[in-house]
Amino acid sequence: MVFSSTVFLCGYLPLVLVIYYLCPGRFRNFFLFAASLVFYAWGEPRYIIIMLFSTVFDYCNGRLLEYLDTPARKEWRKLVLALSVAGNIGILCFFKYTDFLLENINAITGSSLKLLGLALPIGISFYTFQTLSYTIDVYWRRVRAQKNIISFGMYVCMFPQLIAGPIVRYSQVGQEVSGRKADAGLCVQGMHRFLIGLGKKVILANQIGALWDTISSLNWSDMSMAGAWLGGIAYTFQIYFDFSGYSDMAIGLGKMFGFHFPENFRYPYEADSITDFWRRWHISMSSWFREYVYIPLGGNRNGRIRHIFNLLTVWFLTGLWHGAGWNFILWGLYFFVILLIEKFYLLERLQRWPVVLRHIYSKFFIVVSWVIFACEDGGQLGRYLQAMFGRGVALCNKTAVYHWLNYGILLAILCIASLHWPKKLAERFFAGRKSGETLRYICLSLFSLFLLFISMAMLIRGSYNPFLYFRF
Amino acid sequence: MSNKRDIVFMALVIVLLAAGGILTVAGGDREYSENENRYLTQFARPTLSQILSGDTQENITVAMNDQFIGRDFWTKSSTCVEKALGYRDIGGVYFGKDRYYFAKVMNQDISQTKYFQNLRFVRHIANTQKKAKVTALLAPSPGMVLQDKLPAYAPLYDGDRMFQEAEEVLPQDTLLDIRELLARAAERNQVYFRTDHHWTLRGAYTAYQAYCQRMGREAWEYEDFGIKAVSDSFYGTLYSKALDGQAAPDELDTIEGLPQVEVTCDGEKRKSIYDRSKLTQKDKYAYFFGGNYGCVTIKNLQHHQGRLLVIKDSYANTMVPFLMKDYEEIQMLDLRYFRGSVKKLLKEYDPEEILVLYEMSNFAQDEALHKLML
Repeated sequence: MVFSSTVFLCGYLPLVLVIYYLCPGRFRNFFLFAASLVFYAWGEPRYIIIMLFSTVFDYCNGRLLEYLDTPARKEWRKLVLALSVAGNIGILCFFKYTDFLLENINAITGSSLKLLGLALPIGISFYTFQTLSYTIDVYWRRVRAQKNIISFGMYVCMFPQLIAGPIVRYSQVGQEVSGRKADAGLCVQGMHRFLIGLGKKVILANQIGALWDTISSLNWSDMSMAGAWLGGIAYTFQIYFDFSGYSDMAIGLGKMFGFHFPENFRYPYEADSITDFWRRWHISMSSWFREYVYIPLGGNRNGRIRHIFNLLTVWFLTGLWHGAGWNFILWGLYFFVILLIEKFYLLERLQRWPVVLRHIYSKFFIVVSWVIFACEDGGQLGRYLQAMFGRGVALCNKTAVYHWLNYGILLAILCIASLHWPKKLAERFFAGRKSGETLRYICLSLFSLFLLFISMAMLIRGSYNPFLYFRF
Repeated sequence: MSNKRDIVFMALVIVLLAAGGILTVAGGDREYSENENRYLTQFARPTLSQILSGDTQENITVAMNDQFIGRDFWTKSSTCVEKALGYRDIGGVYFGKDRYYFAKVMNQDISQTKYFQNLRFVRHIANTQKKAKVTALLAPSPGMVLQDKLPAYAPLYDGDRMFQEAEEVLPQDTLLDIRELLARAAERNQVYFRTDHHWTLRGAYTAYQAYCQRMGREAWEYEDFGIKAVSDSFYGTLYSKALDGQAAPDELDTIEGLPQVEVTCDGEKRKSIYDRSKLTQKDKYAYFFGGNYGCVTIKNLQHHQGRLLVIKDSYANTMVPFLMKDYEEIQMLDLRYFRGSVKKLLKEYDPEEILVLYEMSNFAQDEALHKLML
């Protein structure tokens, strides 16, 4: 099931909320676990087995790691950890990368190994990373193992962040898994957040996504430089509002059930360098790689060569994590190169550039990066980049003018919505008033209901509504 | 911390959402949407195997949208919002001037390979029919003729190039290009519907005139046909895609001055080419012949020469009535629905004239023209 559907909004969500709040506290974890399995089974009835296997597997590993926690059994602990990592990564790789590997072997050696043709279990990249973080943290003694398998199952399968993140580490919610308070106040905060996320996804991301869809499928004869950039910008906005919309919805849903999930995006398009961008984009994923790959590899502590190698590893894996395709690997390496240049050379100098220039610089590389991300076919990517740099196409044409004009208002809204200013201004407005808090509450409630209304209209109409994470 | 306002808002959201769901599921099963001119997905009875394969879930997801309570209200609201965003095309339809709608068909929607293939099928007929005179009338899309009514800069497929290609592929004097005639007629009359993708009787008459001239025959005057309005509330197929609350309906005309004929639609005999029952439905264009059939035979009881075969899409349904006076028999083949052999039919019917009549973008995308070889 996806959040942006009438089945979820008008069926699943109200039903689950009502039962959850009627449920006595001690049954809530069980109910949420069961409800999450239904949520997942909606789209993937068979793959539920894999998720349950991961749950039991890592539950046992966690318990074992704690049981073996005596100096005499140090080696055994290592073994269990290795088993857990290998098991989790193994499942992920099997479903996600086997066909990619076989295709490349076929391409290189000319063999014709049969592909598995397996559909990728949705969300596998997210929940695998969550369970991995759990066993590793138990191994490092950062968290205590969860003794209740129902509670642990609920943590792994919890539907809010199951299919599109954020990657919630066990250490971040472990206490709330065992005991939390869900009340109307927190629930309403969550609803506000959820509806804003829904609006971002349905009203903003889907609408501008349709433009990328149109432009990326234009015939070459209709392509132009102005059109290609418009397409790139459209996708740049689409992925941000889609992804951060999903994160908002997840965080909001979490609050409805009494959880506090970490923030995943901090106005990434306000970044004035690529380094800055990656501090603001998909924070739960980049911090995961930092905690569990970069730092264990030694980070920047073992000399420059090793440092560069560590960065390369992290960015190669980051790219690969987003999908089994060369464009994703290229996308990761692209950032590796830019970040390396910034780290050792450019970042200091950037500070002396005028603000406008810094933003032009960062937006330019961000838009190009999303084009690499979006074009899964190498030939298409090459042609599209050529068009962006004006090779073999006109500077501008009728098609481009039409689409720039047609999407002008939406683009302006998207720009404003990417900035922190609207929120800040609203807060300043309410803070300076008597009974400002009540006014804020009413305005926010009306605004979120307004977003719900428009989102519903667009969903029912059946406007363009893609799911972007089936490659993750 | 809970207080009253939180409980109120929380309850409000849950009730609103749940109401939508409950009313939709309880609200019965709509089978067909007149407004959208399509069949709606209905809730199906779930079975275990379909649940395991995910089919039931898929069905519920789609049916929930299609059956949603007050669906027409929601679709119109969505159009309203999109218009407020300044969009000039919604649901694959351009919102043109004077409330004209145009299908948004761009170059990438048309496969050149398919188009050339279809042209070659027509060429094959033209080359193999020695006795019959073959004419290919490719009607220009509304947007090509009414360019000034399109939104500024709105891109359409390159029809001019396609006409040139048709001229090159088809044998000489086969293509009948009426772009200019239609453009001139459009200065005086409404030749295309505003809310439908078809031409009006005025447009069809222009095509009739051009065809008569090509055949060296004198055309009857428009006035000779006794044209009268039968409906002033025609909302066509483009409206069904745009779903715009502010659409202006079209007027639908009928030809009263027709000869006495015997009509057979796929074996079913009829007295008239009109199906009056369609006038009470939304897709009123189907008033002509009651829609599309694989094979329609029209026998003129008052005229005793001339056999015409029309290979066509729905554009012909309004042009053929003009031709009826001049032929003893007309057969209309809609290859999309025709199950027989064209070769056999040609041999048995032995037409004197063959008219291939399609709207250009429809012709280029047509999947059934290969049946001309069968």
